[in-house]
Amino acid sequence: MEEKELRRADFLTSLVLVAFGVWVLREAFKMPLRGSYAGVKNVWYVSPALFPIIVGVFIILLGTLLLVHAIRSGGAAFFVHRLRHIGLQKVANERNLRFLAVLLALGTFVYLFIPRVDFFLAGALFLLYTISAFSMEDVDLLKRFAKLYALGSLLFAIVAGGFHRFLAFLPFPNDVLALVFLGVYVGYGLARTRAHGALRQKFVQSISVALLVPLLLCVSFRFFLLVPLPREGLIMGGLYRLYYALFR
Amino acid sequence: MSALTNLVLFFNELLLMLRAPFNIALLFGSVALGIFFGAAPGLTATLGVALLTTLTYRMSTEVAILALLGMYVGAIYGGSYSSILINIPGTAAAAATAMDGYPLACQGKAGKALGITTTSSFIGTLVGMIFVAAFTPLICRIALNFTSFEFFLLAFFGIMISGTLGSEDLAYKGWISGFLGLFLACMGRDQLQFYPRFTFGIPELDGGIDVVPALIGAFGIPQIIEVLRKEVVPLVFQEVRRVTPELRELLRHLPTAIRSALIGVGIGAIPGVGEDIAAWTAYGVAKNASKHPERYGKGEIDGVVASESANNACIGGAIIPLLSLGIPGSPPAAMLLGALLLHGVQPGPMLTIDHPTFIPKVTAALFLNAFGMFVVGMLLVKQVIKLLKIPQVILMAIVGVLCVIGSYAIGLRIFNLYLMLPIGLLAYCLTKMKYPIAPLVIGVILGPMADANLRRALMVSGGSFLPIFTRPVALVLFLATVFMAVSQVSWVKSRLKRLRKKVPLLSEEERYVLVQPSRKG
Repeated sequence: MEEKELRRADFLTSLVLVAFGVWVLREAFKMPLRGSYAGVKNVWYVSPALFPIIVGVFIILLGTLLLVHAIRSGGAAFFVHRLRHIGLQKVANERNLRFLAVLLALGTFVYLFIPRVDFFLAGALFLLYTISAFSMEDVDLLKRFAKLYALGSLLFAIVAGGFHRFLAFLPFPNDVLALVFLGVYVGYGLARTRAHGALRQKFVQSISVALLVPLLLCVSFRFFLLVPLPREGLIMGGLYRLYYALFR
Repeated sequence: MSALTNLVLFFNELLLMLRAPFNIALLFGSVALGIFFGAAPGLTATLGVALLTTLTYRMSTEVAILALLGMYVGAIYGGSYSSILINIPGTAAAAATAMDGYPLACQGKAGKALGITTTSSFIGTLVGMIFVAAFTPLICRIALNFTSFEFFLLAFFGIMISGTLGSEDLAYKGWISGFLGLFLACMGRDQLQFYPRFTFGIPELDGGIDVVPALIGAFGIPQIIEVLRKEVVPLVFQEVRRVTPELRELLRHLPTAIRSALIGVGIGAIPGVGEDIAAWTAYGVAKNASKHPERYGKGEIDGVVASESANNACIGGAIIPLLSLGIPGSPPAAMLLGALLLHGVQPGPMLTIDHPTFIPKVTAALFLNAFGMFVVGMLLVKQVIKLLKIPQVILMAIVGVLCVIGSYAIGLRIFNLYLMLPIGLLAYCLTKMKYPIAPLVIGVILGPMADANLRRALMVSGGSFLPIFTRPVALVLFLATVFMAVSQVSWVKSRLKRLRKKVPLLSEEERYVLVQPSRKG
């Protein structure tokens, strides 16, 4: 980050820090400082509020120091200037787009798929999207893959969240949905990269990594380290059956 | 325990570790994996130790230590591969190695440079190990006299010093990072009265924030975002023909190696200050002491020897405060602390009493890992270079999945993942604004210790802060912390600058390179 940009960020951060420190203090003062809690007579120096109060005070103090430094070094002026001249083009640059695409991958993986879908499928979806979107070195393709992934995730969230009753006849409805999503993504990727040999090769590579890595992880964690996976469904069920048929 | 008893225990542990073929396989495997993590730009030693912690969950403590230290030693050494071969330091610790390592590779001496780094790292690790064996029990014995006030001040001092020395920009950015870590440590029910603090009525937060997922998030997520945000840059490797130990060459540079290793140990022992600072300081000292400082930066072997022996010796240095005081000396050591807690080992002054054979165990593991690193380094260079050609995007995507499964597997709680990602994003934003991450992590780890000890100390003294001024160690720690804070006031800073030596250790260019890489280890 450039010096000017850094000071601008410092100005904004210092305000957030001071506000955060005030909030910490407010919450800390709600804790029992005196009186009795759970039958124990309290004094200020054994109070659970003591340490948060110290932390809050220091955050406010340091935030204020940062604020003063940011104002002195022109961070506040630059912040106001940027606020006036902010343009959509400046915000929608490639680096920010990439950042959003990474957030989409991580956010959907952790908050949407991991709690609802078989770990193999969740991992495969994350890997396929991340590798295919970022390894192509083509912004247009990155945008297309990101849009498809966002749309697919949104549809998954809607169906899995609101319309799961309609899929109740299926053994693992969320897994089936994720499998369909994976299939659609693979189909779309193959169609998009059909005309370019190098891109097609990279996409095929993405598919193989996306399938192999979760398989290895599922097998090693579940059957060797004996660690249960966050969610075990369609694929893990199949792997169980295979494991018991072969080794038990 | 006498020195002889310690020596016997050390050999006993060594034999016990070597007796099981699994341990030997694990030793070489973890060192090789560590070298790969260190060598691959984007992957770090801390991340490697964090991810391996999950896999060692079911192992016995000594086997886990062997594997984790193997990863740590291997990764710090492995950073030199990419420094020498592609002029991109695999870890921040190896940035100084690139200064002379890459010019050597350009002269067709990549094999020689790698041989020198392998032998220097080996010497550095051994020197660090000797210091761990000699000083840890001693410091533990001294620390047994510490009371709650000293422990509170020690934790506070650790956060302040790691914030001061680890900050690339303003020192108080490091302190802010530390206090944010302390805030995260406050979350959950407090240790003395079991009162829920900042839990927002979420039952999963009652137990507080698990250290390992927080560490994985703080070190893993920013790395993933950082690499994926950039455009892919094809890496061009210098050719390596043969790697030899270069013992004769190293004998000529032995004084530099020993001196740098000692610097490495000393810097490693300072809380939160990583291997990168150790390497640059040793490099600067070597350059200052050299008869031919003009050769530095153009392929001077002394430069490579200095930085590599210092960064590997720093491992031992970082382990000393970790084991004796429970305060990690470097970011990977912070991760190691998380792993030890997971295995039921509470580092600190009581370590020699609760686990009398633990220090010999760690020493033996360091010794074996030094040899493992030497052997793997000599034999597997070409294979590691082949692995380095895996595209970074693929590596980072896999690391993403490993971070998730790693954070989950520790406590089998999906909620850990919900915390890991925001902590990772916070760490990423802080990194972008030049806040160091090590103090944040040290704050999360030392927060409960600082909180409980402060209140316990005040309970004993009846709410009086006077013991801080009547107990010598407490007073020293208090004054050191105050001095650190006051030294950042601008006019004090300018006075101190005037008092400093006029000849700088590093040139302007080297200074610039020093502040560029992130200090995540």
